[in-house]
Amino acid sequence: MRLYLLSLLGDSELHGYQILRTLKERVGGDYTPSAGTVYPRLRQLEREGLVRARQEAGRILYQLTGAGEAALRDQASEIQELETEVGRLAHEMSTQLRSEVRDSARELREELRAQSEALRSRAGKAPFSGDLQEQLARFTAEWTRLVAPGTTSAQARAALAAAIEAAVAELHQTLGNAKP
Amino acid sequence: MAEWEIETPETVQFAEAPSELLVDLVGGDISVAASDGPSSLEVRRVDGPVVQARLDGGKLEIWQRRPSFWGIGTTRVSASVAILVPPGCRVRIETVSASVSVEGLEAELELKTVSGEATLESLRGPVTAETVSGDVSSRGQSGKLRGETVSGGVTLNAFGGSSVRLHTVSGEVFADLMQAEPDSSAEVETVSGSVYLRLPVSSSQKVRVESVSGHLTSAFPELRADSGPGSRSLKGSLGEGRGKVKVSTISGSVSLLAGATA
Repeated sequence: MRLYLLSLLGDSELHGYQILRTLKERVGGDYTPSAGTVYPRLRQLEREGLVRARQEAGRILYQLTGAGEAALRDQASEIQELETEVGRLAHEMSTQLRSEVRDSARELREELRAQSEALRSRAGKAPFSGDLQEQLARFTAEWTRLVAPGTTSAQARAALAAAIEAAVAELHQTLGNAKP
Repeated sequence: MAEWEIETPETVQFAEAPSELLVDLVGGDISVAASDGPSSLEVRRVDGPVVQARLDGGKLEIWQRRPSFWGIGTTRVSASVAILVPPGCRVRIETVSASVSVEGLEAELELKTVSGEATLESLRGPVTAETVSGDVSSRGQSGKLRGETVSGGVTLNAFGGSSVRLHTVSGEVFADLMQAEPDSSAEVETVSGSVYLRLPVSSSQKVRVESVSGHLTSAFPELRADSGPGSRSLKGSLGEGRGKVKVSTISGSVSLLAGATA
């Protein structure tokens, strides 16, 4: 409140009611400073030599003294410093937080990749397992069936079946060696 | 209404707490944090046009005017700002390449970036993040997340919210959903990005993972693996099937991993 009154006076000279009105406008909301609060404070500031009061046409005008101006400057710069500090602190914290989040994200990625790797290698030697092997088995059965006993000679059938099995075995071999 | 033009490092304290924040900076660094104390804007660095701020009726806008002509000799347009707002403030951030970090908000966050990286911490409100190549990392988020990226990666650490919807082209997705809400839903769509989801062993989800040619790995034997021409899938119900996990990729591999709830 003190500082506010000082800053309101700033470099002008104000009547008591002007001060009250400005306070009401600026502060607003739930807190409406009353004459009973403001005038005693002004008188206190006067006693401390920070504010000068003079009479004019029956009204009292308030003004900052040199000392008042100096006090305002000092406190204002303190407030500015505090604001800057709070801001800087918030910013530092956020920089630190940012690298923390980034680091924990990277750790999570490594963890999940490793878990996935472990799971895959447990599932079988071949990087493709389960469904593909099933598909290969189906493929072999299909081809063997397609080579109907009536259409080709037993020899040709045997040769074809052997060729298919060899191809499938080679496929398994290739897949088993393939990089994931 | 109050306006500021800031050319040199400075902190501005706002007498009025904003209920809405819009930040529009081309590049640099943007930090937004929720605070119960006074709202403020700290400008740490300005390159190029002045940083402008306007607070009017609860709406706080902070921007750096983009030059209408980007020609030879155009200086960088970039600024480093740190903003404190009330937790209930709705925030929207638009940038091209600025690094963005947001923390503690309880209301909506909308983030649009091209290549800027985003780190999000403890966000409670609904989050929409769109990036082209910028990575998004979010830790301790509750609420809902919707993310769209082209090649940016998405990493969700300790996600405890109710819904995740991610759409990427080649961006990888890593999501630890151990703390997600029981009825939560996780939907991921990608073309070629790898997807890693970690669910609790005692998970309760209806699962549907589909891919054209991507490799599917699952730590859950309850799920049935199927494959047909041009597609393969992992489907089934875990536990009571209260939540939902749906992943579809073209060539991206999918790993459904199990974590033990400590």
